[in-house]
Amino acid sequence: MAELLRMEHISKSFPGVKALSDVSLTLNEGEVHALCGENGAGKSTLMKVLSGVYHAEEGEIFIGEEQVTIENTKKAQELGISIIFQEFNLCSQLSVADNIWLDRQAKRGPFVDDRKMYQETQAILEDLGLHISPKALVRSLSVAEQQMVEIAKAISFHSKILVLDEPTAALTESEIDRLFAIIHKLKEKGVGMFYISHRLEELARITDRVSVIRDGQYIGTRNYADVTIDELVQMMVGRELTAKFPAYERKLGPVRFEARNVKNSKVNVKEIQVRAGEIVGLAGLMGAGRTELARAIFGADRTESKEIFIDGKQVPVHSIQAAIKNGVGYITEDRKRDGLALNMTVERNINLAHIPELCRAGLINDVQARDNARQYIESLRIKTPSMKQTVQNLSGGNQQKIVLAKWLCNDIKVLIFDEPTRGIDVGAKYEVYELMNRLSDNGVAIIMISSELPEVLGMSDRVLVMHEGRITGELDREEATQEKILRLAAGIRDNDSDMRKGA
Amino acid sequence: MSIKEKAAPRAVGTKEAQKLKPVSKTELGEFIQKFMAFGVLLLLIILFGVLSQGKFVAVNNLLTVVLQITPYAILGFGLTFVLITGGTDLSAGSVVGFGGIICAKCLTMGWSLPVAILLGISAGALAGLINGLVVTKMNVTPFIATLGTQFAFRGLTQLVGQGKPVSVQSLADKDLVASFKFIGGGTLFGSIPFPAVLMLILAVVLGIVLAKTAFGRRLYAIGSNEDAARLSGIDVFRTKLMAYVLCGATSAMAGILLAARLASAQSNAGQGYELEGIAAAVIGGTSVMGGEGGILGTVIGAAVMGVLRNGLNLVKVDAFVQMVIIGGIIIVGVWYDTLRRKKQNNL
Amino acid sequence: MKKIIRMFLTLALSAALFVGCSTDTPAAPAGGTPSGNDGGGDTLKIALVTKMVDSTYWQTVKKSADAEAQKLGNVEVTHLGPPTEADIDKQVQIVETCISDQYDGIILAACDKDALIEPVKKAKDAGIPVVMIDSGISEDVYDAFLATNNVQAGAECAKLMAELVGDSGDVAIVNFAAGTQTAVDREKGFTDEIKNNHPNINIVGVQYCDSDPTKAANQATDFISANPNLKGIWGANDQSAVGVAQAVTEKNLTDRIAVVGFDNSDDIKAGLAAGTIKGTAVQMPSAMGSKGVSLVVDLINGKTIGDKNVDTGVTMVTSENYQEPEIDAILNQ
Repeated sequence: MAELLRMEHISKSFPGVKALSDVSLTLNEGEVHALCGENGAGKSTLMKVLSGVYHAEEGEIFIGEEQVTIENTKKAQELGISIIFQEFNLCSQLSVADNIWLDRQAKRGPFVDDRKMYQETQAILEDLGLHISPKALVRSLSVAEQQMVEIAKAISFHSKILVLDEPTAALTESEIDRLFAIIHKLKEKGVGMFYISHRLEELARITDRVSVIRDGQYIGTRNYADVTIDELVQMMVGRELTAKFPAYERKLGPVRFEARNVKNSKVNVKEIQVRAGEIVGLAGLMGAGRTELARAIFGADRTESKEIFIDGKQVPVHSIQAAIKNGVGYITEDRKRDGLALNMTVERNINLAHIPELCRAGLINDVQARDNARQYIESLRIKTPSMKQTVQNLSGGNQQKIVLAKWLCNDIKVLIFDEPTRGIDVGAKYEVYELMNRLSDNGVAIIMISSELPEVLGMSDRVLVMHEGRITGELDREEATQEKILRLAAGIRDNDSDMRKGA
Repeated sequence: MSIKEKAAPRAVGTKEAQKLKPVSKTELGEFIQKFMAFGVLLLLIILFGVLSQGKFVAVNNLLTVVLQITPYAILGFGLTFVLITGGTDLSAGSVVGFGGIICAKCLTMGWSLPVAILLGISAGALAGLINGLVVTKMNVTPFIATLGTQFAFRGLTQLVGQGKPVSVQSLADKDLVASFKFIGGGTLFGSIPFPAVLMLILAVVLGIVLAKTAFGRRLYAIGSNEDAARLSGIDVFRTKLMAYVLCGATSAMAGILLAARLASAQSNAGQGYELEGIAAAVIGGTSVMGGEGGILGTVIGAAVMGVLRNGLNLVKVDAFVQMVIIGGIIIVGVWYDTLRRKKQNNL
Repeated sequence: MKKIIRMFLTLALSAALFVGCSTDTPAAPAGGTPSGNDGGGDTLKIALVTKMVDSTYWQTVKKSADAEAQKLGNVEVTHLGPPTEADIDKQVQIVETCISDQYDGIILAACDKDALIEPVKKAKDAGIPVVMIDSGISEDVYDAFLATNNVQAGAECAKLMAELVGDSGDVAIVNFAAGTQTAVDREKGFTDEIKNNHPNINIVGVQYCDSDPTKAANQATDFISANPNLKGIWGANDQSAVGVAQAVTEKNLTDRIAVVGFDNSDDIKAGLAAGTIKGTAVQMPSAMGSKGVSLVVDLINGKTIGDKNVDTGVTMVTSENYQEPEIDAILNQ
């Protein structure tokens, strides 16, 4: 296999932080090269250097045998390098074709040649085996489809080098299957890919080589076939993790939380019970209504009917304020959209749900606020240069820890985790799990929504499965398997073809 | 049960813990930013001091400048609150007229001065309440909502005044006229303008409200990420409503001061003042995108505008050239702020 | 039928009053009535479009116009105008709406001497007579122009100012708007009179306050700070004058700095009484209102008129003479 790209001795620092130091990597034709490392290790920074978003202070980049300088993203595109970020760069009000050919549309005279543009788009989409209309508006597409559009866009540039940053974070099992099929197709065409993911299990299906970066340092590259997951994890965290999930014996108390007849346009749930100290996993496909159920319980969405009982006593939870007052917390799925105030400081975010308690005679007690923030920064090992740092400058794992800290401040009895470890690295995941166990120790009733089945199986005392807004099944820790959950999630009676594949 | 003590894993003596030093870059950045606006102000004062051969820096003239900026600054305070939530209030100038004319009308109808002032401010607060309800309950974007109420409140003002100024000056009760005029243009200890003192007291009170109270924190959180704020249990509706009510009230206060200074309420008073107020806030570092800003900044911003006007007058710059210069300063100020913010985000 | 006759008689009478008694063209009977599609029996719809509606000045114009309309009978005057004098586009729209609403006649005070030419032409094309009052337009397309000669009035103010400051020293101008014809003319009249006939008086500057008395006060204060020997400030309309007087009062300089104003309002009267305003040029808006209505009605009835341009004049009212009976009548017109 011919070498496509060589990056040598790349170093990059930000004020106060050495983000990359002397990192060298190569990429071959038709290869998937996985990049692993904890959050903030420097993977994304390295890829931003490659795509011209950042400029390295030291080091060279070669494409083939030719040394290149990549001043900006446009130059990167000209060199055949495309990057697909976790956050898509699509204009949601425009069509698929318009997005793919943005600012380089086929022209007839001064006018855009729509017909030609649609034809070319159709050709690319078909080539990828996608059934998306070139005329569809991007905002009408699912997250997975939007990602496919990004990939189609990259292909339209005839990119030979493709960077996929956490492409599966928001995808369901069947969507991941489709993505991997496309990746295999691209491999056949000789496209080389850097693949960043925290889901080590899925690497086996596509990866040729894997490199590990830790704290901005290059740790090593291995052929995927020659390495075990345990070894990889050890390279990433620099210490040995005995297990992915902390072994724990939970002590279950009486029923702490109960919801009955939760009903609105998206959800129809008769009953949910969670005991003190219990972790109930809530599984299901995307769009099954798990987040909607959480929002309904939390008072964030309107409901036609809803009865909430805490410690056997019915409490009114018709607003978010009432939910919090009664000890119900909700850690959202999309921390950037509705979990964090990104341009506010770490301290302000940690204390966000906690403002009334920090007040003395109507004024915020700054000392107490800082003490509180410091305590959580230390105990949750939040990596930040200062509590006055704005959270948008922190890595995903650290952001998630801040969201957690926000709820831990309150006197919480029931906590709903929505995708608690999405986009978080292995080390931080383990810490989150440990934290959940400690909460359970304190008798908190936990509902955990997760699309990662190993996580559901590893952490839950009981698993509830949702399908089309209803709870379709309940499995004990002992009887729960991936297969059973997937069946229930697909709705047992109808034979969803996708699910047979996944099972 | 307190989760705080028990649930949090013990801090391990890690590197991270030691990294937490008291002074950080952002803190320094904030200081420099505030200092910059203040620096610009000092620079202008020195510049005009020299160019006007000392006339500008005469104590009397500086006090005049403070009096001149007072209505803009007070209006700017309320606008700062609204801007921080990510909203805006284009009707503030109309509310200036409305509050002023209600107060003057009450005086001509024989109400006592404190009652008239209270009613004027209440009228402004009510106008703010309407703005807030249109924005929150009817979900009309603040720009459009307050553009609409800008016309409506101006119309109400004209109705109250019957298209004419309401003159307090011509009232028979000369004591009343004198005390009303004192509020708008009187001096304490011989030379300190009373409205300026009011403005400074208001600045301190509102500055504390913004920086130190739960209400203030909520405003910033809403402006920064409304969804996150809502899901953190913040009553977004009430908080925003209060911001608009406050803006209405401060606008009316500015209007009452204008009316008091002349002992006459003009029904066209305050026209275009909302833009002056927004400019003052923005020069002082308040973001029109919400989530950032402060009262001190707005005071400095208003001072920059006032010093520019007065200074240019004193060095006898042509009235038309002045407009060009002031426009340029606003753009440069905001441009600088944008640059600073970009730098901070790329950290 | 009686109505028509009565209307005709009043029209003829008022026409005779204006045009004089020349009877070379016998007043056309029924055929010569309104060019609009209104029948003779209907009320004549007259639009009074002023530069803004909310000022004592325009209210006076409206009052006298209404009075004249009542006197004539069967004439209805609708008062329209933009919210500020600077709102030129709005006034253009208003005039265009008047045309499409088929008013029988328009009395117009133009916010801009050029922008309003087209609308006036359109009205003429639609057969609607247009009488300009107060502020004209730069092309001679209107039927008549009733106004204070603002250049002349500005000069009158300058003469009074010269008298008050002893014909020498520094004076400043706070004008009410930049680029409005009335403002431009007043300023020109004032400065020309000073330059030509009072060489020892020095005009130190001009500021524009947008008819905002608070701005006028600020600008006047700045003039005072910048020019320690200032002896007089002229405010070129009522709001400017009130603001200027306020500034001078605040600085305790009423004895040293003379304030001359223009126009008339309750606040101006109070200023004259208190001596903070030494004098003001009072226009005769009542004449504009009443003459405007009678003239436009004549035109609707097909009468020709003599001189197109009529100066309605100003009266200089000072803090000394304002209590004299005939002056008081003008002040309270």
